Amino acid sequence: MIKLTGVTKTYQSRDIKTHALIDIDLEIDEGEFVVILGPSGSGKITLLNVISGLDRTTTGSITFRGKELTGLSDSEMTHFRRQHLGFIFQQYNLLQNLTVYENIQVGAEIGTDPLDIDELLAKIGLEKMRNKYPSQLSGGAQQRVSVARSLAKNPAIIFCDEPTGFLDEENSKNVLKLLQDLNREYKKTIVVITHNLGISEMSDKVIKMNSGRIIEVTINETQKNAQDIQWGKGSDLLCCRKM
Amino acid sequence: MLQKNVMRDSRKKWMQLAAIGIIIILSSLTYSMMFYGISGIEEPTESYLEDYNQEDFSVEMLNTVTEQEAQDPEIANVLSEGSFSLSDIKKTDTELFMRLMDNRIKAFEQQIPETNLELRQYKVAYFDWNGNSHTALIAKDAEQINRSFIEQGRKPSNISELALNKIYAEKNNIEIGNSFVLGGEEYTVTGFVLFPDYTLPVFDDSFNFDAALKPLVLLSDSAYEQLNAQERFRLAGSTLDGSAIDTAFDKEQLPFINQILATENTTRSGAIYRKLDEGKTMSLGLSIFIAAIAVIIVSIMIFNLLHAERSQIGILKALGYTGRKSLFLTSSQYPGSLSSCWLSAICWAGLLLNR
Repeated sequence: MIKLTGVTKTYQSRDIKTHALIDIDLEIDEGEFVVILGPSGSGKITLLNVISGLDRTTTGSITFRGKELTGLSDSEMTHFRRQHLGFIFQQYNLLQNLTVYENIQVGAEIGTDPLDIDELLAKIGLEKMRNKYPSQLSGGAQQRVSVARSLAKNPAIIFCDEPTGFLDEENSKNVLKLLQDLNREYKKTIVVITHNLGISEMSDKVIKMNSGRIIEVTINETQKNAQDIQWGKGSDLLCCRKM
Repeated sequence: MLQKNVMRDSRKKWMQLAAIGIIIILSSLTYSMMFYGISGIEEPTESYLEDYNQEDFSVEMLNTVTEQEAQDPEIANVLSEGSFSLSDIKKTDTELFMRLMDNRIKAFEQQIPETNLELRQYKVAYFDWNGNSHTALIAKDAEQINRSFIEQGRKPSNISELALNKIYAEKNNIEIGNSFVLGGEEYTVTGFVLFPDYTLPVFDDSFNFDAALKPLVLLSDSAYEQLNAQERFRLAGSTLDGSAIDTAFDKEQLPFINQILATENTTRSGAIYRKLDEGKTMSLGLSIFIAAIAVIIVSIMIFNLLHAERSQIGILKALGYTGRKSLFLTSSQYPGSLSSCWLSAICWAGLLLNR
């Protein structure tokens, strides 16, 4: 589905060059649940940004279903994101003036084949909260709305940046279960960036990063249910061996 | 959905929006009121100055006769009697003085055609009033150029009457019908007068423009001639085609001239124009100042809004909204639109002023 070949990303500030990504080769298949693990500064977010077209690569190639993305203009990239990508971030960033239903509608409005909002509300368990404003919801509920907003336009792939970063264990597992259900029921490709090693137990593929490189790719033969993962298991990546 | 978000957001930010609106209205009002206020003065002033034929220029003359003029036997005779200044010559032989002035006017009109000149005769008298030293300018009523304008009452018609300028009268509590002593003579005030060539009371060497100490006075012709005060003369001129006068002149051909002054460059007659221009500039400056404050406030608001909604804008862009739509979905378009409106208003104001 997504293929990265020889991708590098270098930031330059005056005379200082920072190599955020170094020679990344990676393939994410259709319908996969992928977890990218790594400590701060390892390049996880840069990797997510270049895969999703939020940032440009310095060198290398990225293809989506065979289509080259690196040459697209900004407006073409915006169109591509609108068509195929969904995002869930650590901060929910819901529009405070809109209700739960309307926030999900914001996501649905730009999709060409959007999902039914009522169905989504039922899925995230917030049917009764549909007319509430974000400030009237808990963090977990807000993140679920954020997931629904991202999913509403019916994207092929959903990128999640620390989706449970601000949530307690119970709410986190609820959100993760939602993501797992999306992956299993709707066959959505999910890419999760996290520090939490426990989340990797529910994925198909685990990509470990350090210092801008992929140091290990693990394929899980079996995936744990979201509710069964070991919570709070910190990553210990610096000691991981290189591939 | 975008509109819904914007409407709800604007309801929440009504106070900020109202504040910007008030500043914009204040700015426009200040400009409009001051501009129309000044226009309200400008139009009647210009109309009065035109109707009463304000001089386009003045010719400051030597107060003595030139060598060439002294060749005239009659003038030479007067000079031999010890009358050297123009005022002395006038006292000695008024007819001769008038002929001398006619000759000067003819010489000028010959050298600088398309002009019309009239002798301006005036006296300056010093007197004390309520313990203060006052200086009065008594102008002889002109026939063509710088004609006196009676804004209230009537012109003095006999030897014991006079008219004063109104501002002096008001500042000194003088009313029509009151007595006024000048040059040792007592007069009855019959009206309030204006002279087009004295929009500002400048008629001596001092820089004191205090209207309360400097009356402009109109006497009947006979009273003027009898008044014992220092008399001065100049030529008041107007151009026949309304064009600006060239103040350069041939000194050899016109040796009696000290200088030619265009009205717009003369304080006593042209001050009003500068005051009107200053007023216009002030009105524009003040509204720009108020509007500049509005711009600063709007800029700060935009900065704060963008800063506060940075994450939301980022999320929306990531979802696939264009940058413009993301901005619209947040509320940053409001101050932007308002500042655009304001800038347009200022541009219009500038255009109007330069029209």
